[in-house]
Order: sequence, then C-alpha cells, then structure tokens
Amino acid sequence: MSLSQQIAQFLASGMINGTIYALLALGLVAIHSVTRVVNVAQGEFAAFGALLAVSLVAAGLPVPASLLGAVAAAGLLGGVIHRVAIRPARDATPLVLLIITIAVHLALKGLLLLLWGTNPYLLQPFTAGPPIRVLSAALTRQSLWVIGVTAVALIILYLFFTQTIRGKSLRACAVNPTAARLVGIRVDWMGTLAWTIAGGLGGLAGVLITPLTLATYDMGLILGLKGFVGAVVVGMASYPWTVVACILFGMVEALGTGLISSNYRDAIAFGVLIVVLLWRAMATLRLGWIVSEEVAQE
Amino acid sequence: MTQRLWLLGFIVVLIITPALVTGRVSLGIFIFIGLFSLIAIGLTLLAGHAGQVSLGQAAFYGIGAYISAITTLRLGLPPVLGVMLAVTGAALTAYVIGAPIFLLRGHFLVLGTLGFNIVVDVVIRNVQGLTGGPTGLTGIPPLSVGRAIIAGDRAYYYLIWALVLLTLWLGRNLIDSRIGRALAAIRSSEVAAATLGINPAFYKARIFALSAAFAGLAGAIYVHYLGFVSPSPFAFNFSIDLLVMSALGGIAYLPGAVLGTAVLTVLREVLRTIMPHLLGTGASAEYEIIVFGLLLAVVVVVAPAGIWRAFAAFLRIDRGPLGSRGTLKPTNSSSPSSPPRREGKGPSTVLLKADELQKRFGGLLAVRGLSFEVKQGDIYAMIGPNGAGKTTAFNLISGVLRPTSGAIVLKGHTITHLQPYAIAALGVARTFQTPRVFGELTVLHNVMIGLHRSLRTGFLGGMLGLGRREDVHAAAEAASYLERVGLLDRAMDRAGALPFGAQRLLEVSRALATRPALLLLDEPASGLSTTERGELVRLIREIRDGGVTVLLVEHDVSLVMGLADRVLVLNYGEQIAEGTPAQVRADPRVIGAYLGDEVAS
Repeated sequence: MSLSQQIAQFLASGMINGTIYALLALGLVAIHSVTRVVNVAQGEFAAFGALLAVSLVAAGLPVPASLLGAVAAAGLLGGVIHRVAIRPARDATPLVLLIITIAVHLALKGLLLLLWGTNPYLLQPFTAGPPIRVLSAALTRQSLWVIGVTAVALIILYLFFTQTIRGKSLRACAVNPTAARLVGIRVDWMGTLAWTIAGGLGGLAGVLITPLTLATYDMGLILGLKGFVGAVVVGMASYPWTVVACILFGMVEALGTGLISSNYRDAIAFGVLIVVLLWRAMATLRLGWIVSEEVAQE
Repeated sequence: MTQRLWLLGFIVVLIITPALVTGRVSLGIFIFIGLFSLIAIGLTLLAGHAGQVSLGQAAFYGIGAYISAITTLRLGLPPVLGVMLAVTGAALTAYVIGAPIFLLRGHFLVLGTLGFNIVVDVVIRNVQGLTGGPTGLTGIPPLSVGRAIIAGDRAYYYLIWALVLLTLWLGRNLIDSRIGRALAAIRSSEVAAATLGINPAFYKARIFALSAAFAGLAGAIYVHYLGFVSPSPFAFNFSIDLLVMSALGGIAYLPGAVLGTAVLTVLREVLRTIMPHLLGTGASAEYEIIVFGLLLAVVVVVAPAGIWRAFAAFLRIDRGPLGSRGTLKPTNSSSPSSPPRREGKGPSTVLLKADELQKRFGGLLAVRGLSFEVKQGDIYAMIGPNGAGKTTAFNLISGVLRPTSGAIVLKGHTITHLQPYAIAALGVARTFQTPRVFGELTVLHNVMIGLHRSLRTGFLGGMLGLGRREDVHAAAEAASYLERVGLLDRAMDRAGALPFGAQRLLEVSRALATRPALLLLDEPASGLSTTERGELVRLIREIRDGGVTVLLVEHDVSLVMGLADRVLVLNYGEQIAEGTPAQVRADPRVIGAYLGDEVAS
C-alpha cells in the first residue's frame, strides 16, 4: 500500500472514531449546558449500552430490538443518575458536582464489572459483507452504519431542538435557567431530560462501536474523555461544531497513531487535549477576560 | 491547648509504632500511609483551599519517581540531588500545564490532568530505553547523605513521617498567610478577588505546582525506599484513589488528608483479604473501585466536610477553619494609618475618561456610545431605569467585561484591555450590586484580603510562617477600615452571616482597604433602611473628603441629587444627559425617560 493510500485509510478510520466521539461529546455538551456539570461518567453509558446489547442478543432477542433496547436503557440510566446523584446536590458547587460524577463513574464501572466481568465481548456487524472501497480507502460495512446512524441521530436531535417545544425549552434552560423557570419551564426535569438524551447518545455510541472493537467494562473512561476533547475545542457550546471538531480530532488521532505507533494512541489523543486547552487559554488572553458574560450579568 | 497535646500524643505514637509492629502487620503499610499522605496533603491544599481538583497527582508522583530513579541510576547523581531534581521537575511540569489551563475558568483542570496522567502512563511504558518499559528499573540506590546510607524500613518510616509532619506544618502556615487568604478569596469568588488586585491564575498555578512538588517528593522517596520502579502505581486509577483519600478525610482539612489516607489504605488491605472469599479470586483487586466509588459518592453527598471534622470534634480540637485571633485594636481610632492615595494634581484633573464605549451582548447593545469624564475628587453618579446599562458600564470600567469598542483612560493610561486585577492595581476598587463577600471567611479577613497588594508575604514566606508580624499590622489596619463603616464589633463573625446591609458596608470597607484612587459603588443604597441610607451618604462624603473619587450607580434619584457633584443619565444603553444635579433635573429627556414621553412633550 502506498503512503497516500495509507493516509487515506487512516483518515477514513479516524473519521469513524471521530463520529463515535461526537456522540459522546454531544451528550457532554447537553449535560453541561443544562446542568453545568462536566460528566466524567459519560463514557460509562457507552460501555453499558454495548454490554447490554451483547447480552440481549445472546439472550435470543432480535438484533434491532436488542440494539434499540440497549440504547433506551442507557438513556434511562442517564435520567436515573440525574435524579439520584446529581439533582439532590444541585445547590452544591461545581466542584462537588464534578466529584460526584467521578464517584458515579467509579460506581458504574464497578457495577459493569460485577455484571459482565473482565472478559471482552463481541457484537456481530449489523450487516455482513466485504468492505466497500471509497476512493482509495476500504470501509467496513459497520463503518457505514456508524456514519449513517449518527447522521440520522443528528437530524433527529436537530429537529428536536428546533421544532419541538420541549427541545426549545431545553435550549432556554441552557441559556438562562432563571428566566426559563419564570416562564414556567420545569428546569429540574429539563436537567433529567438532558441526562437522558446524553445517556441515550452514549449508549448509541457503545452499540455502534462494539462490532468494530470489543466491548469491555472499562472501555468508558477513555471514550468519554475523547468526546470531551472534541467538545472542549469549541468550548462546550455549539452542537454542530462539536461534531465537526470531534471528527477532525478522530482524524488527527488516527493519523498520529498510524504514522508513529499504535502504542502511543492515547498519548497522542490526550496530547491533543492539552494542546487544545493551551490554545483556548491563549485565545482567552487575546479576546478578553475570563469572566463569562453570564457571571458578570448576575 | 488540647490541640498541642493531641499533636504531641500523635508524635509519640508515631515514634513508638515501629517498636510495636510485629508479626503479620508490617511496617510497610505505615510507610505507604505516610507516602500517600504527602501526596494527599498537596491535593487537599489544591482542592480544599484553591478549589481546583487534579486527577493527575499520580502522574506527578510518577514523574518524581522516574526522575530520581533515572538520574541516580543512569547518570550516577547522588540520591539527594535526584530527589531535589524530582521535586523541581514535578513542580515545573505542573506549572507549565497549569498556568495556561487556569486562564480558562471552569473545571478544565480535572480533565486536563486526567488526560495528562494517561499521556505520562503511556510514555513511561513505551520509552523503554529510558524507563525500562513495563518491567521498570531495578538497582536504584538507597538515599544517602554523604557516607550515611538511609536503609531499612525503620529509617524510611521515620524519614517519611517527619516529612509528613513538615508538609502539614508548611501547609498550615500557608493557609493562615496572605497567600492562603488570597486562595480562599479566589475559591469564594474569582471576580471579587480579581477586583481586589489578586490574579487568580497566578495563585492557582503556583499552588498546583506546590501540590505536584509534594507528589514528586513522595515518588522520589518511594523509589529509593523500594530500590526499583515500574509504571503500574502511577496510572490514573491511583489519582482517583488520592482524590477519594482527600475527600474522605475532609477536603478542607490538612490533617484530614492523613486520616483519609490511613482509613483508605487500611480499608484496601482489608478488602484485599476478604474480597476473594466473597467474590472469588478473579480480578478481586478491581472490585475495590465499587467500594471506593460508593464511598466517594456517600462522603460527598452525605458528609461533604469528611470524617476529620467529626474526628476533631471527638478529640475536642476546637480550631475551626475560621481560626481566631486575640483582641483587635484599630491602628488609629479615627482614620486608617496611611491616607488613601492623593494624586498630586489640582482638583480639576480628569481621573477617569470613557470614550465612545460600546458593549454588545449578541443582538443587544447594552451600552452604546458612552463618553464621560470623572474629575479627581468628585462624587459622580450614573442613574437610569432598569436595563439602562449602568452595571454593564461598571463592569467595563473594572475590567470584568471587555468593551466591544471604545476606550477607558485612567490617569492618562488606557486601561481598556487590562485584566481586572491590573486595573485594581492602578487604583480602581468596586463593590457589587449583589454583595460578593467571601462568606466562609471572617469579616476581618475579608478586609485583610483588600490589603493584599500592600502586603508582601509570598509562598515561601507564608509556608515558613514569616508573615505573622506583617499580619498583625494588617489586622489592625483592617480593623480601622471596619471601624470606619461601623463593623468593628463584628470583625470575628463569618462574613456570610452578616445581614445584607452590613455585607454592603463590608464590601465598601474591603474596597477602601485597597487604597483606591477611584471607588465604584454599584447601587450602594439598595436594600438599606432610611437611617442606613443617611449613614451611607455621610460615609460616601467622608470617603470623598479622604481623597477618593467616587463613581456610583444608583436607583434612588433623591439620594443621588443630594450627594453627587455631577450626574450622568443612561437610558437603554444611551447617555441622555450629563451635568450638575440641577441641570439634569431640568433636562426634558430625563423627565421623559423617568416619567414617560407624554409628560415631557
């Protein structure tokens, strides 16, 4: 394979990974914008969805039902975590909320370990068949599923946020919770809704990626962190730009991994995180202070 | 007194422990409790006192370990030098990563450091030529000073616990110093701290470096104790364990770090003994995370103060986080020791000038084309209906917000693009519409934070307890500022417990303590009773007579008209009139804005 072919292959697989990161990043942004929590446990939704899907298939359920069931269960898990762990501490400082999500991460990881053990699990690709050539890269059919399903999910999310009253309420809570409460939106339940959406998106990521890699109880943290890298590039704010950033990040990671060494994959990914944080800090210096306008407006 | 007795008792127990330890319990566990305590103390300083959480402490522990291992083993440096390099290396790395991250508000440090920990782990495992890869390095020499070699469990036990006591002492001194007060202010409100001349990023980066130095020290001692090093203790799981240790002990209490570490380390040993019986042998070590995760969740939700507080109450150690001081005497019963700065120019000099200021929030022009001049020694008032842009104008002047366009000039210097702490350093102080006192601190300490820039004690001096004498003077000076606003008798109260009106006055006295040339008062009269208003008017005149120019935003038009030398009227972000109170009162546009256009026309 020539170098240009190799690079095309790296970019293609990076794009698939980036799509998965985007699903996790969108959940992080949804949670952060409505409840102001950086959710360290985001990746656990993916691990839970993936492992549950494997078990449902193994239990003899039809594959589509298993996958949908796993995604729905992950969403439910997100909502439950908000009600049980986050909402009771909603008046706490962001720091305490963050530590709570670390605790949730540990507890969920432990729960997954109890239920599924340390073995890796495999899910069959959604459709069988040889890889497809796109330009000079070979794409597995599962990769196309990842892109297709994610695209559909994004369209549904977009319609939800722009066309439904509930989606608009959610955006209102993100912009100004006090004003949202004053016009009769139940901010509390919007938080639960945001966590549910984040859980579902995380579960979807897990279900989509399992046929490409293996599902393990501890796959979550790294995936969630990589989603965070993409989200932080655009400041945990814009949904569409988060997707773009994640896909670019996936490509950078894959290129670096392919050209240097696969041993360094995570080091490259989180090296990018540190570079991005530095870059954003420089931008802060250039553009003005630190105080977000919402803080100054209080 | 009891506190000293308990400390003495604790030291005695530490000294005799090695003689008591026999049989199945080895001294090793006490050595590790000491080592981990060193790291947890650093994390408690960072998280409990600066409000920043790091999930990368295991990486700094590892950096310290490998620096000391590699420099002694491969370069043949003496171990003491290796330890010093390890501490410096860990601290520098933290500083280089932390300094930019702290420019970003919010909790980016957690994920940044978690990512960093993973990078360090991967690098240690893969740079085999230097680190020995997954198998690690062996044959690391023990610590030695000259010809004396420190070897054996007992020697390291005493060395490590002596270091624990030393770091506790250094940390406690630091918390009680000017630096500790600045950190507490930043934790409570970064904006308020910055407007008092404190640069939040500066202090956070340094305390982060200090916490990494403690971790690096622990790592360096660890490798010389064991004689070998491998990557596994430095993975991010251990960073999480360290956070659990700190939080369990009580994130605000330094001795809690030791207590939490001891409890968790013993608990882990117990779990390792009983878990295989309960759950079978497979991956039993992994099951710890369930217990640790639940423990962390329960502690944070149920008892955020951790177990140290209950433990201290049980031992009757009465020193709360507020601390206490002897009786307080103001430096001078009527006025502060040094008069506020007076600029040497005549009374008609322009102190502050705003030129075509504009601020846009998305589609809203909150302030448009605002131009005015405040003369030295004036009381200058901005009035206007709600949403007129008064507070926004204040935020622009104090640097909390940056204007979309236009310029602000103070004493001939353009300050438009300066950070709030730099503007404060040039002599601008402010209060907030909703008071932002540092609620967990005493009233006195609030004002002492206002004195921050006139005190000198730094990190090192603070850790060594060298700032005490300076603090005695500072407390007396702060007391004189409290006396001016009539709060001296509440000096030792928690600031958050003051009623609203008193919090406003506290903010004024805290702002005066920065010895400003220009004092910005954001709606000082709102929420005050009629008598309190009378006193406020008297106070503002007094402040002006002391040489401080006052710029205030106010709703109460009658108060302003009786007090101000000049008045600026804003409406919907636009300036509609400016002049003496009499001129403004007669202006038809002002009458229109306040009473409706029908009346005006």
